[in-house]
Amino acid sequence: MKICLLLLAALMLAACSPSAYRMHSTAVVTVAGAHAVTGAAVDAARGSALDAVEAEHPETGEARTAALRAEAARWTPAGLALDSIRSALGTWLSAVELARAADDGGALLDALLPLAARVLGLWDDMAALLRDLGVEAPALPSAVRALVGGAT
Amino acid sequence: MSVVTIVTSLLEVVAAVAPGVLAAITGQHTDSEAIEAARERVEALPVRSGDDGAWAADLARRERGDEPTR
Repeated sequence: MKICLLLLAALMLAACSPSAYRMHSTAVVTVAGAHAVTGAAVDAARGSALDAVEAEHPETGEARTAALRAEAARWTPAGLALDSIRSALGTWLSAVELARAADDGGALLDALLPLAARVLGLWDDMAALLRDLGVEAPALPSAVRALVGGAT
Repeated sequence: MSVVTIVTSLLEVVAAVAPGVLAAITGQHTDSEAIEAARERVEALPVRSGDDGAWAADLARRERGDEPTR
């Protein structure tokens, strides 16, 4: 009877413990959430900057177009950084899918961790870039950094 | 129907619904469901850069002097 109870408890614990694949999926969702918040803040800041240009040049024409393009160009690196992280999140998730399909006890997942760590490096670079544009990107949770070994 | 049959049937029912109940209680999904949910979350993020990105359309609209559509 005791053995049966222990077995049941072990099964329930196994059912409740998130697998490495689920932990990585959750980490991707967490970073995607931070990305969405940061992207919205960047959109708003860029929009305000371009609104100000439009207010300075109310009439359409070459001067307005040139001024708008100059201001938009200032924000281009921020857009590229956000899109790079979006792409890296997709790569991270593909690595998790591959590792799950391989079903090799996590060895492949460990080997693919540098792909996940790349997101952290990109995030830090983007945060520095956005700071120069007056936008503060949130720090990623330490649990996410710990999951991929903190490597950047 | 014997007691053993009833108990066996009950155990089968419990075994069938337990994973779903546990998932509902803990908010966890299977690995594939979790990966799929994460994939949907990432793909919902807008693309901003490039000719097809959201910012190119926004800039073109501003250059034309059109009002925002939202």
